[in-house]
Amino acid sequence: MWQWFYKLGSPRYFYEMTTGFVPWLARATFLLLAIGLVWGLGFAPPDYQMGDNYRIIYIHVPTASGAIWIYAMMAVMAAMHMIWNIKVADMVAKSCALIGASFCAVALVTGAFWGKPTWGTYWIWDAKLTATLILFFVYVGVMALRSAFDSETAASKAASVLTLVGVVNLPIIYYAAYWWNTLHQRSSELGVRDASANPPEIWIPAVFSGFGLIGLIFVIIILHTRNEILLRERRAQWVQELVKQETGNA
Amino acid sequence: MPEFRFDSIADFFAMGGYGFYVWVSYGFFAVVMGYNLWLPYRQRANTLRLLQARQLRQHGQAGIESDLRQQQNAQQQQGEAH
Repeated sequence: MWQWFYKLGSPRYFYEMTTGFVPWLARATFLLLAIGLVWGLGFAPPDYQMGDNYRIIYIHVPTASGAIWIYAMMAVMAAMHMIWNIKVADMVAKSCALIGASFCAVALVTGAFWGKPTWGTYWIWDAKLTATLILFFVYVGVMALRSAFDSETAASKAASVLTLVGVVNLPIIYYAAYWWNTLHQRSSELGVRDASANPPEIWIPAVFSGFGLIGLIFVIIILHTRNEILLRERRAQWVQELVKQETGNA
Repeated sequence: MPEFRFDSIADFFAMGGYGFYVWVSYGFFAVVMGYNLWLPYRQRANTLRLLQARQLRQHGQAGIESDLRQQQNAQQQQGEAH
């Protein structure tokens, strides 16, 4: 297991491993998402209080927690890059930023369109909402900082440091609804621990859409990282041969 | 087996009066995720084109250099012969 993990640190091994793996992951992702969203939109029963409006949950909750977990992954990769100087870790960290910002944006927008009919407002400076908005700005900041350097080494270092500093925000978002009683409700745990909270007809589609979005995160991060590997390892013999093969020029 | 909760397609799009909020949310989600999936494919095509151009340039330069070297060698040999 550790040896395999260690081998993934080699750009070439990462690239070759993922070549066969990504199409299957993409298919599973598409299937899970299709099942989860169609089920959630059309077949799950309406909520007794919020009616059909609650169906936004099937994208709001997985994108919001995804935004946090992608950041956690980006931070682990940044730390691995800083401590052991693993090149692939930095490439994965770089690939996390845009998809993380996108998940954050989707969580904020779907939350706004859920909040309007239920809370009566698109936006309020609630603790959880504000912390999530800050997370979005941190993602954008990491991307901007990385692109501000001409030197790749300097860009990686600066982005890694900022990423690690931004970690303080994660527990704030996660526990915001517990630490401050503003507006955002606490997680209803999908009824897994408290069976009375939500019936399985409501939370089973959320499990499908949740795993579907986890798959999507990995598909997108892997595809980005593969591009980054080709670009940064362009002088390596195996990349040069691959380019010849792919572009059909000898 | 879960049953379809709406009486008609129009009823499905109306979402019990919440159609606007639900479909804007799902629409935004679809657009953002679609963009995130499309981007690496475009980047891959761009990267391969860039690296191909680099290879052709290098090969081209190497080719010109070896041509020059051959010419020079030929001229030198001619000069020695004279």
